[in-house]
Amino acid sequence: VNAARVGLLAGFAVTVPVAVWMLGTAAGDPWASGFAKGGVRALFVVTAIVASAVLPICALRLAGRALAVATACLLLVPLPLIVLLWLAGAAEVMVLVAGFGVLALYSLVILLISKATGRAMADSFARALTLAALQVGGAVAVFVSRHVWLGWLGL
Amino acid sequence: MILGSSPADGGDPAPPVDVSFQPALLGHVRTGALAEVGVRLVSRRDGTVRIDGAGTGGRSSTSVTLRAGEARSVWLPYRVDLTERLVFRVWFENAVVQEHELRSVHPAKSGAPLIVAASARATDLTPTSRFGGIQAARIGTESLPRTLQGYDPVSQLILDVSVFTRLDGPQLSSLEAFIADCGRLSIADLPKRAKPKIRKIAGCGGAFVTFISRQEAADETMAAVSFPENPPLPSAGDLLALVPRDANDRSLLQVSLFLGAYVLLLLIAALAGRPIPAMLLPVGAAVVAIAVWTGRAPGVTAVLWLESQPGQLQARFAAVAAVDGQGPDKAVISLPADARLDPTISDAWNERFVDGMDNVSASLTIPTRLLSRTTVRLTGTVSMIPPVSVSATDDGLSIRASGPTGTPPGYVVWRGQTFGLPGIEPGATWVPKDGGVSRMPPELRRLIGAPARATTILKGVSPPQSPIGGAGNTHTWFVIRNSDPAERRP
Repeated sequence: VNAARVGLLAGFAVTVPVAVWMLGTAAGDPWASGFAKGGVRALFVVTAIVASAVLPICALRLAGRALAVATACLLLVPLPLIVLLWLAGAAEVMVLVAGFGVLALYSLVILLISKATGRAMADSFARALTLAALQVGGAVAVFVSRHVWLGWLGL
Repeated sequence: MILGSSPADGGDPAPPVDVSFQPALLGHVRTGALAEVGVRLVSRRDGTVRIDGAGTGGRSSTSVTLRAGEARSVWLPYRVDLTERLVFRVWFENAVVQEHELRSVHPAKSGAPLIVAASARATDLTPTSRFGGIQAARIGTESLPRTLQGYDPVSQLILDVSVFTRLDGPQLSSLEAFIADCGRLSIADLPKRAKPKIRKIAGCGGAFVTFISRQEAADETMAAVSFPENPPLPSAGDLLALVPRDANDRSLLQVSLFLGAYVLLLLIAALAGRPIPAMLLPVGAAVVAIAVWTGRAPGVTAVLWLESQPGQLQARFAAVAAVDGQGPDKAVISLPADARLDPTISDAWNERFVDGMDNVSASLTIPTRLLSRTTVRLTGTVSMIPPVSVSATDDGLSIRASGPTGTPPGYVVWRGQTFGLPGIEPGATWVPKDGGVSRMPPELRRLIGAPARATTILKGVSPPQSPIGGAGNTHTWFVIRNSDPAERRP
């Protein structure tokens, strides 16, 4: 598995739909009033969902520096879009930095749980089931609770 | 009449600036409309006083240059929002020297007209007076507004001829602007010789000015005088439809190209699978985005719509400035001090400056962002004589360039037909020819309607002092209506 490729493609899966949504909303809104804040909210939620889905697998297959590269790529790929949304007035820099920090922290937690699960379970079937539960559970949790944690960030 | 003031705090027994407030029209206002308050300032030191407008959170302010011991009076417009306290904050040398709450306001009942009767005769202002009809708010000359905004709440103004000798300069100018802006005015006992002057400045062909006797002015049915519906000026959307606005589309295209290129590079980097370039690519793209889209001046497109009649000295106008942001920056638009701004912009700064010579200037500062769009609409009047004289009779139509310069091309609507009007040299005359029928753009046709008589539309004729400044591109339409200004529009 190529760590950089995995990270870039995961970041790609985050960035492309949000970018398309952002451009479509900006083009269709004659006053361009709500796309920036909506875009940054969508970007953070989609990044958290994709991280929930991808990072447990990465944790299983990659280790050390490779795992760090994959995680960094996933989190860095949306950065230009975040910058564009900041230029469009989505939020203050500190709010976006805090949001980025929350995503990094969440990714670290996912990785740690996945690694711990991998070590604790010798049975590969049980391990796969647990990681699948972690993937689905994490994605659903970040989506359902998005108003709460985005609210903490002031978004 | 000074309604009093209160010091900001009790610590300084002699504040550096004495300030007193006096609302125009004796405080008669209409919720949601503009109103005017007069402010008298006397400073103990030279300096500049800033007065923050009521209910604006400091986003609307007036700065006045003061000299020690010299009394100055300024007149501030404010929008009447009675859900909040009307508090004006006066700043001097970076400190609040006074907060004044305007309590003496009398809002008109919702939906009811505000009829104001002004007279310089003391007997017209007594409680038993019938001047202006029983519904009228009776005021003395000194309470007449000194800005066009001050007339905003007035549904109908009834003037006794006695006021004309008592009006000061600002009152006379603002009254002229009110008349030119198709304000509803009845003048009692105006001498016959003065009527042509009023007609010459009256907007909408004088359809909203009546000359009455004092007997009629005291009639209880005065309030029932029915004027035609005031012809509205075009909306912001209607005006913007007249011009192409590509600044924002261009920004959107640039952002799309940037993101497209970024996605392509991501795919290439993913194929290569090298970690260092993979991590540097997003960081580099973010740096490029910041470099490209910071410090880019916004695109400001202005549309100016002027309406007048042949021979009229002032034109009504509606102007729109569309500010297309291309990054974090700001646009500064200059506007007439007495322009009425539509209350739609929440994050703009409206500043007025009164210099030592009583010259008032105003500007609007609008913060911009990447792909942001802000539209400002203002209305008012401007001194401008139509550059053409139009003669439209049952026999025919002729248009003569009456100004010192030639006229640009335009259109003429006459007897239900539209003709393309070529540019006319000074002093030359144009008459429609058979087969010269032209088509008007539908956006313009919508605004012109179907006039019963001749209407001339000139594109690109600007008044000597443009009501809107700071725009990169100003598109101007000047409409000269020979027809009844009150006729129905689509």
